[in-house]
Amino acid sequence: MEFTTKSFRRVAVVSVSGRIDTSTSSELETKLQDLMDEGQKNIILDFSSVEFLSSSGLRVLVTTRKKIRNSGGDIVLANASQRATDSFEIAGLDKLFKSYPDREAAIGAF
Amino acid sequence: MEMANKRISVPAFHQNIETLCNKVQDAAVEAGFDDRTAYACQLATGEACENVINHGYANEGDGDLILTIKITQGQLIIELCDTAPPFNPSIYPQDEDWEEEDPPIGGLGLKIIHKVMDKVSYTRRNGRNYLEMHKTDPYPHLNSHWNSSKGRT
Repeated sequence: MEFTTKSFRRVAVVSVSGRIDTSTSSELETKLQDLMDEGQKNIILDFSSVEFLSSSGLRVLVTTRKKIRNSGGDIVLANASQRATDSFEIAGLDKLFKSYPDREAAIGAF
Repeated sequence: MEMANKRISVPAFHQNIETLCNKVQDAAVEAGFDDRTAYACQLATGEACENVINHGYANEGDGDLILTIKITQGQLIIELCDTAPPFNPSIYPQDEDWEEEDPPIGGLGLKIIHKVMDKVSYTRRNGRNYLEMHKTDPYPHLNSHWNSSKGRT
C-alpha cells in the first residue's frame, strides 16, 4: 500500500493505492489519525487505485469515521475502484460512506 | 469433468496472505469467473487467513497456512488448512441491528466469507482445521448475489 496526501483549506485528500489489509491497515490508521491530530476535520479518500480492501481496512475506516464525525467533520470516498466498492457493499457498509465520482466533486461538497 | 488441483503452503505471516490471495485470483480466472467474482473469492480467502493468524495461532508465524484449490470450469473449491486450536468459521455470525453511525465491526471477516461464498464447511481432523469454501456461480448479479442467503449454514 502507498499513499499520498494533499491538503486544501477545508479538506485533505488521501490517495491510496494497492492493498489495504491486515498488513497495511495500521499504517493507514496512523496516517488518518495524524491528519486529525493536525486539526484536519474533513478527509477525502481517493480509492481509485485500491486493489484489495479487507475487513481490517474497513474496520479502520469505520473507526476513523466515527472519530472524525464526533469532532464535527466527515470522511468520504472519491473515485473508488470497483474492488473497493465491492468490499464496502459485501460488508454492508456502502451506505455508511458518502461516495463521489471524482475528487473534484468530493472537494466541492465541503 | 477435468479437475485441476493447486496446493501451496506458507508460514502464517500477514505478509504471506497476498501470495495465497493471488493464487485464488488466478484459479478463479482459470475456472471462468469474471473479475468481480474472482475478487470475491480472494477476499474470502484473505479473511479466512487473517482469522487463522489473528485468532488461531498464538503468535504470527507459529504455524503454516496450507491452501488447496480445486478447479473445474465454473467451480472453485478453496480449502484452507492450519494447525491452530479448533475454530469453526462455518457458523454464520448473527446479524445485529445497528445504528447508522455505529455499525458493528466485530466478526466482519466471517460475514464477508459467508456472503460471497456459496458453501462454507469446517472439519477438524488429526489436529488440523480444514475450512472448505465453494464458489459455483461464475456470473453473479452483484446486488442479488451478495444479498442472498446462500452460504449460511
